Formats: sequence, C-alpha cells, structure tokens
Amino acid sequence: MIRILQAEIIKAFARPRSYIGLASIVALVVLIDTSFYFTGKEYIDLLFQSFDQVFSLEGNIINGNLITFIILQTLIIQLPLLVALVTGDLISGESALGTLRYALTKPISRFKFITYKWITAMLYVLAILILLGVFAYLLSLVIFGLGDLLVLNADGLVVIRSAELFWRFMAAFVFAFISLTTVASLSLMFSAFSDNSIGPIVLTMVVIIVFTVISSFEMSFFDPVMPLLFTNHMHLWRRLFSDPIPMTEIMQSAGVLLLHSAVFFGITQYHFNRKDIFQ
Amino acid sequence: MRNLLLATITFLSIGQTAFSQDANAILDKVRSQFQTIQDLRCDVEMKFDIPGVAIDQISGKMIYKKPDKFRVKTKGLIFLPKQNPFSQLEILDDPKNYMAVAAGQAKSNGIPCHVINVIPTNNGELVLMKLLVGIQDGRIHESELTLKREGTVQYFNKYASGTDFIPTSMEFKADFKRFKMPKAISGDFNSTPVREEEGQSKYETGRVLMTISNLDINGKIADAEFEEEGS
Repeated sequence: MIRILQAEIIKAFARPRSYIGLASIVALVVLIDTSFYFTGKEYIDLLFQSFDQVFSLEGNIINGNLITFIILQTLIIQLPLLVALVTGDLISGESALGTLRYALTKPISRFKFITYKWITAMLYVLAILILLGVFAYLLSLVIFGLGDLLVLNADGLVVIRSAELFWRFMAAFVFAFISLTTVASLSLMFSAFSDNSIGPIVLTMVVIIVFTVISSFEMSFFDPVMPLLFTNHMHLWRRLFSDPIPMTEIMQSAGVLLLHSAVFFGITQYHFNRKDIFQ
Repeated sequence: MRNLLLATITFLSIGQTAFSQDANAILDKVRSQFQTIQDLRCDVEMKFDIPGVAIDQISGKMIYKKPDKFRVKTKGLIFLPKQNPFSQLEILDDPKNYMAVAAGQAKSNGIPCHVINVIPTNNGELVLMKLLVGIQDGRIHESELTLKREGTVQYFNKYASGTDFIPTSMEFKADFKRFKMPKAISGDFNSTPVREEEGQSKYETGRVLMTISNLDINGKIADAEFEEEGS
C-alpha cells in the first residue's frame, strides 16, 4: 500500500506543472522582499495617512514579521490557484492520458485509490506551505530583521509585539493548510467528474474567484450568503493576528472548512466508485 | 462723542498693554525655568488610547536635547504625537517670536492657573497656543496648540512634586479622521462592514499618556543618540 502511495506521490511530483507553483512562490517572495526593501516606506506612508496628521509611528515598522504577514496575505489569494493547478489534474489527467484504467488494474479498491490521490494532494499543499513559510519567513527576517507587527484591518490597526508572533505565524500556517485542504479537495472532486486536465483547474479557479469577489464586496445585499462561502472562512487566519483572538470564530471556520473538505472528499469517493472508466 | 471714543481707545490700549505685560511676566518665569534645561533623559511608560488602534503599553527611554531634538527609544512600535511634548516650551524660548495675551484665569485639574494666549509673529506651523500656567508654581499644566496642518492638539501635565519643572505625566490628546480602509486594500475580508450613521462625526479623539521616571537633567546626550539605528 505504501508503495502505491509512493508511486502516486512520484507521479504528482514528476510533472513539471507541480514545480510551477513552487517556483512562483519563490519568485513572488523574492519580488515582494525586494520591492519592500526599496519602496516599503512609501507603501507604509500610504496606508498610514489617516493617522499621519497627528501621530507618527516610531520604530522598525518594515521588519521581517510585517513582510511575512504581507506575503502570506498576498499569496493566500493566489495559493488556491497554484494548488488547483496540480490537484485538479490528479484524476482527470490520468483519465485524459488513458492511464486511469491501467492504474485501477492494480489490486487496490477505488476507495483507497482516491484516498491516496487525496493524500498526495495534501502532501503537495504541505510542500507549498512549508516552502512559503520557511522561505518567506527566513528571507524576510534576514533582510529586514525582527520587529513588532503592524496589522492593517478595515477599521483600524493592531500592533502585535514581536515576542507573540512566532506561535501566531505557526497557527496561521496550520489554518492555511486547512484552507488549502478544502481547495485541494474541491479540485480533486471536479477532477473525478472530468476526463480532461484543464476543466477541473479552470472550474476551481472560477469558483474561488467568484466567491472571493463576493467576499470583498462591502454591500449588505451579500451579507446572508457570506457564511456559506468557504472562501470567506479561508481568510480567518488573519484573526490570529487580532487582539484579543476570537478563538471560537476561528475554530468554527476551521470546522466549516474541514466539513467542506469531508463533503468534497465524500462526493469524490461516491462518484468515482460509480464512474465508468472504460469510456 | 469724539472724546468718549478717544477715551475708550486709550482705555483699551492701556488694558491691552497691561494684559500683555502680565502675560509676558508669567511666561518669563516659565522660560527662565526651561532655560536651565539643556539635555534630558528619563524612563517613560507609554499608554495608548487611540480609537481603531490596538496597541499594548510599552516602556522605554525618552531623550531630549535643545533646541528641538526629541526621541523615545523602545523595543517596539509606538505612536508619538507629531509635535514633541516640549514644543510649547521651545516656542517660548525666544520672546521675539510671539505675542502673549493674558486671557483670565481657569482651573486645570483643580489647580488655579493663568490663561495665556500665545500668538506667533513668525509664519510658522503654529497658529495659536493657549497655556494654562499655575498661579502658584509657574508651571504649564495644560496647553492647547492650534497648528496649520495638524489642527488642535492638547497636552495635560501632572507633577509629582511641588518643585519639579518637568511633569511626571504628560497626556497628549488630538482629534484625527476615523480610520477606514477598503477590504480590498487591507485584505481584511471577514470584518463586519463599518457603516457610518447619519450625523456621526468623521473624527475621533486619540490619547497618548507618557509617564516619566528616573529623570536625569543636563547629563550630556550625544546627537548620535537621536538617530535611528540602521539609518
């Protein structure tokens, strides 16, 4: 069984597209760090102009913690797309290539086959997050040093002292993993329904983009549907950088995301067990 | 009729001169005390009460050097008033730069004070400064600065002993425009939308309280200490 899982992992990581996401993370982190190194002050001044009239903010504002936070905030919107690029192709890609029927000739149940695909998808998500976390955090700390984090919210600012930040970042990465698990499960579900590589990837991207756009609207018309959009719960990692931290809200959102993952996984299993792979 | 008008103008001129002389005499006392201070170093504990800003209190070192060098050194981020807390005293340093007018008496935190309006004669940032100077101690207990760019800011001083010229606590108070940032820029997609009620003021009042201890006056402070590390 382990050998089949290993084979699935090797298959997933042998594809060049698996490295597009990893390479783009490295490139984006380097770009964001470079841009902040040269023009970070302009960015901060722009954000801070409401208070700038009477207060001045003193201290090492542009530091490694702030840059990691900004990178996480920026990439958390793009990461689902990078995840979908690989996980949306895990089943449909094999179907399109015609290797799915050969894979299922092995002495393995369809349930286990999909479970291994799902585990492979989770490992890819984990690889992306470890790369992002280690690379973004270490590079930013080396370039900009330590310091308090200035978190910009829609209705104000939160300053979090440096000593409190490491565990918050760790918790944020765990939450990001739960969020991306949902995206990976969604794209894997679409992948089970499709026989071509592009369809599930595009469909996952469309769902995420539409949900995110609705989430960003500040109109009361959308208020009733907000709790139903899983993308709305994906942003809750930010609440780990609030004071006080709304743990109940965060746990509820993590629960909602895990429930979504379970439902997507269940639908994938249900459909794939009845799927005619000879067509 | 003409005689009555002349008498009124004469009376007002004499009154104005008398008020100015009184005010200048009061400010002379303040200035003479401030002139004894060249460098200042102390511990400071800062508390912030700024609507829309969640920030813990923090302690650090405050340094000041004449004519206008000021810095608070802490291990973390802090909000400071744009005007340094000694700016009202710096203005008084040169009597040629302002005109002082006594405006009666008032109480600041229960202490009877002279109210002095200071009108700058240069074309600087300050438009008007109102000082509440203690009748008994000749120290500034309250000041209100009207500035061209920053609007009106206030300082409330408290003194632990009857003789210290430097306050043990300085509270800075100012109004600023309420902070609001579109979700798309802040990335805070989960916040409850802030919808302003009709007639609600767009401004809020922020306060910074600085509590001073371990005061060291006129110990030499190098200029390099006022520069940011790494700058």
